[in-house]
Amino acid sequence: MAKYSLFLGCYIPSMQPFAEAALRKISPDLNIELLDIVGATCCPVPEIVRLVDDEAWITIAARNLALADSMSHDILVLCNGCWETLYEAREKLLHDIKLRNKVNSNLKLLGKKFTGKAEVKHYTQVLVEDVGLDALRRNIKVDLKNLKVAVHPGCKLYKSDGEKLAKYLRDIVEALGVQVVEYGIERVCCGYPLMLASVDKAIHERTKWKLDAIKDANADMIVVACPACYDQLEKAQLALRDEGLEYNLPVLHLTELIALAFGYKAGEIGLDLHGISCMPVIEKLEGVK
Amino acid sequence: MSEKELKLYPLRKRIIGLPQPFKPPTSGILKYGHVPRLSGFLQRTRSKLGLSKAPPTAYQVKEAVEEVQNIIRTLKLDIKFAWDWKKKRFQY
Repeated sequence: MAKYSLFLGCYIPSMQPFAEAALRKISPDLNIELLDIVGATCCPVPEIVRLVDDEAWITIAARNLALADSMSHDILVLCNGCWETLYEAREKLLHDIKLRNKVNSNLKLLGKKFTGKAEVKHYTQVLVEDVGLDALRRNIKVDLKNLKVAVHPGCKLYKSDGEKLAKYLRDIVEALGVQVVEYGIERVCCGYPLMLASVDKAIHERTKWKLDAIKDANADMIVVACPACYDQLEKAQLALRDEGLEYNLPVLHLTELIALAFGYKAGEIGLDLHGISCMPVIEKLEGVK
Repeated sequence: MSEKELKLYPLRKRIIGLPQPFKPPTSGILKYGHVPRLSGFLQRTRSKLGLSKAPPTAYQVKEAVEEVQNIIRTLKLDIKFAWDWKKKRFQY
């Protein structure tokens, strides 16, 4: 069984535990053993801490990386923002000796040291490169062919080498046997970072644009690999409903969609806890059975 | 703006304190080591889903929160964004 140090981040354990529950259910099926990083903190959030102070950003990130280094397994990251922080901080620290020495001198006060031993992997990378899509297909127990899914990779995955993580997300969703719906603006940001500048602009000029395109493409649901995108796509729909508009697009984490394909029941993974009801998805799946 | 940036751009207006939208997440990191607080409701929800009430991160490990606070103190960020350690909130 392949072992990984699990980096949960902030939003998933404290606001979206259904994504964590689904991951912990599907992992043994895929021969993955998850080890919690004891004492991990916020990655820290790149949109805020990096802007406030670059040195604080890299030092807190290095502390988290040092915890994983001491566990000697690669890090499996469940959040796009955490992946960006940890991946970029590790790359910087590995290639800039002066910076590494400076950060390690700060970490020495905490009795920790960054070595870079543990590689940072987004879970889409683990699923495609380490587990393999064939292993994923072998575990599918529910036919999802009637489900029309809009894939929202999120900005960070496009920052990976050759945009490979965005491609992996799509490959995984396709491997699950769903119909992937093209809506034309897959690359557009969900609007989450724009919320820091203007809530109105973020919801009406970014998220609504995306939601409208997905609605027009007749998708049954949206699949994401990032808790911030999940939050934005759900909350924007709820805000737009308050304005009298009709938005009922369920948003699912990739882990939840995989769990449904593997035959786990909606209640087991907490689909009933979503802000936008997932009943249309569940009804469609039950219709297929 | 860091000290290095101040030397590079001496005429740029120095911002004291954090912009309003940055305050809640930064305050969360300083208080809990994570951006959001893990509420009692969410702890019960986690249990219902078969998860531990709180993951063994800074939500459970107090030393982890203290270590983040030490990093902030070492880098003198608490002064930069006017954090009141006693009241656990921004001064302005």
